[in-house]
Amino acid sequence: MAEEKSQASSSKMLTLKASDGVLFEVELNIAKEMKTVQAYIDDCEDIETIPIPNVLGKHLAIVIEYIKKTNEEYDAEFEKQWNMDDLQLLLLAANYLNISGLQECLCKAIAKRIENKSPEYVRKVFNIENDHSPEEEAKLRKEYKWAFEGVDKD
Amino acid sequence: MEKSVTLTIMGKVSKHIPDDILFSILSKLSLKSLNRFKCVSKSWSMLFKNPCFMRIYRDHIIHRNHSDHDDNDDASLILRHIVQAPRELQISLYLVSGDNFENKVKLDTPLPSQELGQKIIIVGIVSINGILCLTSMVVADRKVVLWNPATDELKVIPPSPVEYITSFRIFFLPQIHGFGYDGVKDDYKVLRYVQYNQFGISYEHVRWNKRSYEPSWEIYREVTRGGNLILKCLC
Repeated sequence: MAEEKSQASSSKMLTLKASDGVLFEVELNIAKEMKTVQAYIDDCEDIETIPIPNVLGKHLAIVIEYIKKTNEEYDAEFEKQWNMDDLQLLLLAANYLNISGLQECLCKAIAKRIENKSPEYVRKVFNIENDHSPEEEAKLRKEYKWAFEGVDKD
Repeated sequence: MEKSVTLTIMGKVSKHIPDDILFSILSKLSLKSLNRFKCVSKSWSMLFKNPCFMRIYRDHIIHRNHSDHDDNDDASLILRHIVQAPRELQISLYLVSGDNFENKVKLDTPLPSQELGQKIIIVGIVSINGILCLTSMVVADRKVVLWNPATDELKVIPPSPVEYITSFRIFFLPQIHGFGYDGVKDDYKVLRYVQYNQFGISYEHVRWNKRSYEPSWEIYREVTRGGNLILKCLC
């Protein structure tokens, strides 16, 4: 049954089910910040439990907390708590759930963490295989020698 | 590797970051890092030639330069350093950024002398979103290009339609007045002033239609001043 009271619509609760089965009860207005969830609700008004198959409970909890608390101060401190793996998984979650503010915050955070690092470090972070031949790589390193100055040691 | 084992146990969540998200991350990096990361892999070495990446990168630069936020911790300038050596001018370009512009990175990309010859002018002495508008001091070589020294992207601006009307072109002195970015139309604008001498040639022979092609060109005003027909083109 669709709620008629517009005043009370913000207190209507929805359940989100993470990929590992963990359940989260959230207010409708919080859930709507996730555009993916919003689309779900638009399609089926009566829904009470929405499956979120791509996101672990651990990360969904963090995402929900972000939505509730986001502001400039919070955002600035937010990224510091998480390791690189979590940051990436949170970014994938934010992307799936379509929360642009959180995506932006996480992209910035990850960029900041790799900014002054070596190519080896970056390969590990994103699990990338080096398909340059040794000669090609040597040539690039020589050509961009200036870009290697002052880089953090791994 | 530890990390991938843990992820398999947890099941359905993969850590692979698709390209569009990766590009969003990379677009926020400094040019110094982007160039260093060309060593990461073949596809990363081709980032500046990847249209998907460049679209996101440009959006980011433009947004950063035009945002009201105090986020501009990475505002940058392009400096041209000219040294008068005995037989020639040595010109180097530097990208300067940071709070006090303390990060100075020399750009090894040479000025596009293939397109413009040796005597290159930087229009307006300004870099818009890292792009320079260049033309040549030599009238015979006179082309206008937009050039990004950091990525070596070059775009030649097609000549104005009026330049083809050679029968009217007694004196052809195109002057570039300015170069800027139009945030509303999301396009760059070059302001050019063209002067013709009209000696007894009637108006009817000349058709001043609005022509548009990319970038859009419009003739927006014509003024006759004592026998001279002056056109101001906004392009």
